[in-house]
Amino acid sequence: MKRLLTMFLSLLLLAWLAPAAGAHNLSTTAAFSLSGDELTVRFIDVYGAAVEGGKATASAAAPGKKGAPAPLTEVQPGTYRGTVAAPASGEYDILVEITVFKELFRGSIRVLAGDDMAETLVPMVPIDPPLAHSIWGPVLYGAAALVLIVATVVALRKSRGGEEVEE
Amino acid sequence: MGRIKQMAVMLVAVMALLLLAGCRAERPAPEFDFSLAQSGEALVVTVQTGSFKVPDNGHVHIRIDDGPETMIYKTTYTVPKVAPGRHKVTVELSDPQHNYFGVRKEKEIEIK
Repeated sequence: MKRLLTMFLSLLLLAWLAPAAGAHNLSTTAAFSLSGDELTVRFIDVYGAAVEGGKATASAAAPGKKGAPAPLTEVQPGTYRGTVAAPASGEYDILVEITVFKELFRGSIRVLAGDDMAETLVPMVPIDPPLAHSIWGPVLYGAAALVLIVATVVALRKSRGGEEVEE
Repeated sequence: MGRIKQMAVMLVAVMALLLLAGCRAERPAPEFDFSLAQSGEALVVTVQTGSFKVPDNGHVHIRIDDGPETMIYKTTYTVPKVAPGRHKVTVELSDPQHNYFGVRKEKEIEIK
């Protein structure tokens, strides 16, 4: 009984992990420009086409720190604008996240407080769902497959050896 | 009795697995077509997806001249600037998890 349950749970784990293996890596770029506190992000794909209809946020914080994300508004197709609360002095990072129909992209750039920034291209990295590209995905998948194989072999041996004892 | 209980559990497990497998089984490829047009320096790709609703049922993957893949969540895609010459455009539909349906279409256009 326990073996059956283990096999079933292993198969469920395999089925759950399988879709994550198909996650994609689609490269996109954003052109960041900063004028005072106003940030403009032009989000484009590999062919330069505007990526429309996304939900974007931006945050500003000292390197290594996390800032509060503020929403950016799509002012024209693929162009998002908003205000970032930049520190008064020193270097800081602007982090932009854009979600386009459940696909999350993230990009950041380091700027100096008080400096404006002409349009600068920043690669936007797709953020995959948990386990899609981490080491734990294949490890869990392998473990589930191993448990399944062992449980099957043990069950077959038992059934050939005569009546199975009920647990 | 123990045997019957085991068989019942196995039956439920198999049914659940069949249900799971059904969710991931190959579905019939949706019908689609696309057209290419030049608008100034831009290349416009218009995809007709019929009963396959974008973005509810999935989205469209596009490659130009065997370049990298891009995806769109609508049926019109405009590349703002395309060099003059002959270009190949490949279009494929995929479900929301980026699984393809196995049908890819290619067309060419001469950009002047």
